[in-house]
Formats: sequence, structure tokens, C-alpha cells
Amino acid sequence: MELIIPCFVAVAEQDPDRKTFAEADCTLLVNEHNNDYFGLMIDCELNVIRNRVDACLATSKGIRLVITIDGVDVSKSLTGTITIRHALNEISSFSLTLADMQYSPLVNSHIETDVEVVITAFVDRQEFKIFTGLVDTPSTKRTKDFKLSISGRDYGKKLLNTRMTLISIQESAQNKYRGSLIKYLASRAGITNVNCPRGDLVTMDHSFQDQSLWDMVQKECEIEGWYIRFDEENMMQVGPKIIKTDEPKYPNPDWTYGEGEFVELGFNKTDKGIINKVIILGAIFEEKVITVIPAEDVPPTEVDVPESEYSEDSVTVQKSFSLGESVTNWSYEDANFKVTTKYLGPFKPSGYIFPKYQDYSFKVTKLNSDLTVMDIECTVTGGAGRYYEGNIGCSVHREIQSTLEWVFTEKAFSISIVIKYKEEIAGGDTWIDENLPAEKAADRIETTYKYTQIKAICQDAGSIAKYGERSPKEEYALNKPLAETEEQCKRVGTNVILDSHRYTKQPDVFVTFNPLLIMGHTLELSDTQIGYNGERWIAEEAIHTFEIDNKTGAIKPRTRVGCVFYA
Amino acid sequence: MFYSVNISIGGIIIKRLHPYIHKKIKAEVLDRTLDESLFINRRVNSEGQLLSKYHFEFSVVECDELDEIELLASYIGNHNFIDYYEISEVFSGDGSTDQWTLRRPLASTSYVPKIIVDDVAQIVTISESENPSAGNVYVNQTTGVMTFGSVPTNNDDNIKVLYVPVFPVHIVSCEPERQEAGLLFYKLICEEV
Repeated sequence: MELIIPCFVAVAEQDPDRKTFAEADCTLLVNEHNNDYFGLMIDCELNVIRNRVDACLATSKGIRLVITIDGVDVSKSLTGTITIRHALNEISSFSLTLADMQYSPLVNSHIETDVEVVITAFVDRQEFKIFTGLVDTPSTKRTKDFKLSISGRDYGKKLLNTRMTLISIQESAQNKYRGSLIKYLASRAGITNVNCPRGDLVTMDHSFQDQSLWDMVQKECEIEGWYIRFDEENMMQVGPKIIKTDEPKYPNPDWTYGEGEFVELGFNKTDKGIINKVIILGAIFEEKVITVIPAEDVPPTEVDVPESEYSEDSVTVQKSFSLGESVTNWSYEDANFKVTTKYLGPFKPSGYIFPKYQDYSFKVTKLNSDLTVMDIECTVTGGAGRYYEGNIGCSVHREIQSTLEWVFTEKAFSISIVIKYKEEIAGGDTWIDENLPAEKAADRIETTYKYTQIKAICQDAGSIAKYGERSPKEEYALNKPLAETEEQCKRVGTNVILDSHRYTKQPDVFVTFNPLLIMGHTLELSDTQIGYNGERWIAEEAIHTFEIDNKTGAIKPRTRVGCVFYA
Repeated sequence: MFYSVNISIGGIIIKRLHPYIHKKIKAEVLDRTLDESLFINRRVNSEGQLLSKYHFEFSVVECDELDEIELLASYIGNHNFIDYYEISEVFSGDGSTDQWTLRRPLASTSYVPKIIVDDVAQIVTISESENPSAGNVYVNQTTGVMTFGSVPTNNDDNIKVLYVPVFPVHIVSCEPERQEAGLLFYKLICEEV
């Protein structure tokens, strides 16, 4: 009987962004119990195979090197020394030499600037792609022998070589988080493979004038405390430096080198460049303040104003009201005048039991301020009569008729209003408007700007006690205009102080070729004779060299690691 | 064991004279660590086997063959060199691979390689076929491909081969070296390419 039990095996990674190099091989043994029931006893063996790590650490190893340029395998023509240099937050570089005339740049179209170079090492049959980059300058020197020297850098050179002015990149990025801004900047150099955390939300304008994309990205990264690395798969890796010197938090360093595992071991000590007190000056925020200042009266001036001259004219408004038609529902209006009506009430002459009239007023209103109404003439005919006339209006009695059934109805009548008006054509106000300034100036609006700068003071008391106060360039302040909050200023300042102390102790070691060692890894070094007692150090520079013996073809690979100290 | 055989170079047969130097140069670099441990970096081929090259030095008496050898030395091409020595190659089984390649072709069908897997001698046949039965090994004379009927186990250095190869060589020099008993001796130096 075959019994299949799904088995899930998880191998913890130390850091999701920087993969560890373990493979898991799990064998599940299900034992048959002697009472014929399966699965009563289960043994599970987890065997973590570290082939790749073991290959890197082996002191006796088989090496094979394959180098392609623009897809062409040139491994057979390699000679001299091949060098690959990685440094933290720097663009990696390589150099190599070919000794075959077929690769002369004059005749071979593959030997060209900016073609891709891939360097792969096979160590004990484990494959390690150790470099992907672009050719910078192929150069030949032919004496008796032909030598073609090729140097180049990783894909970061695209960022370095692209110089531009970018305005308000936060508007062009996918969103306004710093990670998105960095991805946008990289995309301007054609780099789309970017692995970047989200980062802080940016709230201000991010514009850069005439500078390389590399500088722009570095300025953004500095605020977050991030570093850039182009990995062997041409992926731009952006993220924080993970310092694994805290042993309880990180029980295992990335690499351990003990007695007998160094070809050369050095150590430097310096207190140059230490900074232990710094003020980080961040963004300057501008606030617009608007103040309204009331206008002052202009002092009166005496001038002789010419007398007004007028042109006179009239306009007639006519209306006929039918029997029972409401007066108050009517009005008249043109560009210059408006005539309105108003019900005044009933009027009952003496001797009458019921009111004989309904009284209404008609009023003329001027709409054009250039005109002056001089008088009106109001003529009423039909079932109504005018009982009052003024300069701008008149009032009428409208007669009421009744039937035997006591139904009262207002009679029909017509009204004609002649409006007499004049318009000033010279002198007077016209002259004043044309010749004198306004008597009163308009209110004045004054705009001022208030500036507030974000800043933070950072210091390391322990370092000040040991080295005295050290500030950058004998000043205290560093300008970091992209830091938008005090927290970001503090983060930048803390990193500046921390980084400046890393050269106080610098181990420099030659070890067996280790292609998996990348910048920012933590090394634990032991050589008790000169005082290395298992302390942890951060790798900031690694130089891989491959010396090829011209006679035997043997490859001598080495990795030189420059380490620094973090308290 | 004393070999009384000739040398064949570029098809010219000459008698091997003393002293004869047949030197294997391993493509490896050694480094001593701070505590005198040894780092060994071996240059390997795609099958993970150590690369090595051979160096030959021998004397030739001025005679008719010398003219032909000097002529060969002027060639830009390489020459087949057979000294009828058995050389060794060692491979490592991985429990699944059943084919490995000798780094040089066989000198002739007259010299059947000796192959031992996990200390057990195999039955070797020079053949272009690739389907030997268990316990048998077929070796292709021109390509050096060995096909094993039984898959070798996963162990380091458990496949040992002794065979007489053909070396492609370049004649580095052919110069008069000494005169003895009225004979002019030439020193011939060849490097495997």
C-alpha cells in the first residue's frame, strides 16, 4: 500500500530582499506498524542542502569561468586578470583582457560600447552569475601580442550617464510615495526592473535641475536611508542597510571566516571624517500671507468744473387695461426706465355706500445713471381718471361698476406716460469723470511670504566624549532639502553620524572566491593571534579577481573584502 | 615497467631517446593561508573535471627524420603526438550520469583503456555505440565519449581511467643541444595545445 501525505517544508529566510542560499530537501518516512496500520509512526527528516554556500566556502574548489560579450562566448580568449569590483551604494565595475585578434573592435561588431557583458562562474559545478553590465571602453594595444582591454560598469551607469532637468516628478510618478518616485526616475533611464520599498509619502514638490538621474536617486534614497545595488540579474535593488551586529536579533551572520580561511588579513584604524554633531536642515516651507490695507482718502482739491450741457429727449409708455384686468400684474422696463404699479386701496366718495374707485399709483424709475428724469406727463382715458401727478409718478382712480347681483368689476382704461429726460453730454460730472482722478483709491492688497525650515539636531554623546565635538566642515549644518519632516531629518543625521564612524575599524581580508558575498553582508571574523575574536563586520567593498596563468590556463580566483565597523 | 616504444609525431615515427620528459601540468593554483592551510583552485571543464596539459621534451639524433620534424615545426597547424604512455583521468560519479568524455582521443583501437569504477574493473569496448550492458563501458575512439552500462555511484573520484591518448601538440622548439660520439642531438619541445 502506498500512502501519500503532502508535506510542507519552510526554510526561513533571513531577509526577504536578500535571499539566503539554502535549498530544502525533505524526506518523509512513513513506517508500517506491525499491526498493519500505516502512518502510526512518522519520521520526518529535513536536510537543508547548502551546495552553493559550501561551494563558496570550500578551500579546494573547481573553477570555470564563462564570459559573454553581446551574447558571444569569449571565454577561450581570456588572458591576464579579470577584475570585478562591487562597493556599497556604488556602480560595480569590471575589466578583462582578450588575446584573440578576431575580437579587434575594428573588425568585430560585438565589441562595442554599451553591449551587455555577462560573467558567470561555475564553482564545484554550481552556477553563479556574478556580473551583468555594459561595456564602457574597449581598447586594443598591439605590440607583438594582441591585447584587447575591456572595461565596463553595471546597469547603474545608465542612471549616471542620463542627465536632465525634471520638474515635479511626484506628479509623473505612479503615486506620491518615495519608492514610486525612485521607480519613475529609473524609468527615465530605461530601467524598469526595480525592487524598491514604498517609503514615505512626499508632500512637497520634487524637482531637479540639470543633474544625473543617479544623483537624483541618491538624494531621494538618502532621506530614507536606502542604498542602491544592481544585482547580477540586472535588477535595481533599493533598500536599507541591514546591520546584523545585534547578535540576539540576528543569531547568524551572513558569512563566518575562521582560522585558516584567510590568505591575507589586514586592519586599518582612523578617526578621520568622524561626525558626531550635525544639524540637518530640511525643506523650507513657504506660507503666503495676504494683508488688506484700507485705502486712504484723497485730500480734496479745488478745481473749476465747467457747467453741464445736456441733450433733452422723451419716451412714451402706453398701456390699455381691459375690463377687470389687474393693474398690479403689469410693469414696463427698457434699458433706461422702469414703470411699476402699486395698489393704493379703495376710494369711497362721500354719499356712496360702497367704494366707487380702486386707486393705483404708477412710478417711473431711472435705470440708466447717465440720464436724469426731468418730468412726466400722464394722460388717462376710459374708466379711470388721474388724481395726482408728480415728477416721477402719478395716481389714478379706477372706476368700479356693479350689477344688480352686486358683482363689482373694475372698468377698462388706458394710460400714457411721457417721460421727459435729459443726458449730460459735456461739463459737470462728465468733465469730472474725464479729467479728475477718483476721489478715493482702491484698497491695497499686500502679499508677504513666511518661510519655515524643517530641521533636526543630531549628536552622539559617546563619540563626543571620546573624540571631541566633530561637525561637518567645521560647520554644524548639512542641507538636505528633500527631508520634509523632522523625523526624516533625524534619520538622515543619525545615518550620517553612524556612517562616519564606520572607518574607525576596517578589516581587509583575502578569502577564497565567494561569489555570493554581496555588499552589506555581515562577516564574522576570527583570528585570535591578531585579535579577531568573532566580531561582526559589514562588507562594503568586494573585489573578485581571476588571474589566468598563461602557461597552464589555471585560474586563481580570490575575493578581497573591505569591511567596516558599526557599533 | 620499461617501455620500449617509439614516438609518433605528425605521422613521423621516431625512437624515443633518453632523457625523455613527459610532464603533466595541472591547471591549478595553490595558495597557503595564514595558518598554512592549502587553498586549491582547480580549473575545470564543463563536467567539473580538472584540466591539465602535457609538456614533452626529447632528443632527436640528426638524421633523415630530423628534416621532417623541422618541417613540422614550421607548420602553423598542430600535430598529433603519441608517446604510447598510459595517462590517467579521474571522474566523479553522481548517481545519475552515465556518460563522461575523455579529454583526448584514443591513440588507436590497439590500446583499450582500463576503466575502474568503485574499485571494480569494467569491461571496455572501443565502439561508437552508446548502449552497453551492465558492467560494460563503450569508449568512442575519436570523441573520447565513455558510456557506462551501469551508472556509477555518487562518489568523488570513483571513476579511474588509464588510456593511451593522442595529444594535439605545438612544436615549441627544435634546437641543436649537444654533440656526442660524432652525433648531433637536437632537443625537441612540444606543448599540448
